Amino acid sequence: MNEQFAAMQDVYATAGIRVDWSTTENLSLSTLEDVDVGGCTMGSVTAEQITLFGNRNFVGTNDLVVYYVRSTVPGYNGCAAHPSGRPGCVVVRTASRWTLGHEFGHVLGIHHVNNNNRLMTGNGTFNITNPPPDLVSTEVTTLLNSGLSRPI
Amino acid sequence: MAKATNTNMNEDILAFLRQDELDYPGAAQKFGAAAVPFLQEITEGGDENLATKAAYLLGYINDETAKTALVAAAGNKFTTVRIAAAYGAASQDADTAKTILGRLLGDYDHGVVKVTMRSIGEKNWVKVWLKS
Repeated sequence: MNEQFAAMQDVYATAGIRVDWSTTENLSLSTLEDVDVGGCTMGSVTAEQITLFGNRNFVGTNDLVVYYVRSTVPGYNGCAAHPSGRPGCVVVRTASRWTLGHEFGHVLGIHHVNNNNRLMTGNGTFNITNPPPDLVSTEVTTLLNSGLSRPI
Repeated sequence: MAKATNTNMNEDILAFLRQDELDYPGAAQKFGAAAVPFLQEITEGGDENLATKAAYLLGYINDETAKTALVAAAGNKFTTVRIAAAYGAASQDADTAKTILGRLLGDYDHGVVKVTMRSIGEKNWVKVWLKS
């Protein structure tokens, strides 16, 4: 978790974006340790995702939440699909160090690209070739214009 | 030449399994039964992340060798591989599903049992098994 968050901070810092970690909660939700994410499609979530993302203690309305789980069903490294009004993503414990930043990128509105030098590579963040991966200017604009980011 | 082709396919399979969000049905169609030996090798290896994804992909490949590999995955050391086997069992024939799900119903891990129960319910397997 610490490594993934630090990696995300590094990448987003290159775009002039500061990422703060505000709170952590250990959830005792044994039935959601392996969470059903269906097809992991934005705008379409499972009953288990709705239950999991209902856990937002000590979190602001526009704060992003990452739920670390043992696995997703079916198996992905992470999934950015989330219920409306509950921005966040799921990341599995065996994911790459870049997965958190990648999934939060999806939550903030940026999409896959076919380039392993970039954070949003659709070829898998395990395959990133020149760490830290890049965010290009159009992606940075989208991140900054997201209703979930704010100027400081 | 055949060896080089296999090597290329294995590299493609690994590249697929290293993705963050995976299109399993598309990969099953792309790689087919030829991928099964390598996928089984990965499920039996030491990388939990790759082993789990390989087991999910096995569940999407419609071939006898894939069924055999999925049955073997039901006894895997990694819990998440056994979950993948339970998930994949829902799309197998009744006998294969019975072998996998019957075994995993008694698994010590609650996540495995949860997905096993879901797969049993999804196809109403109990009714099918009682009839047969």
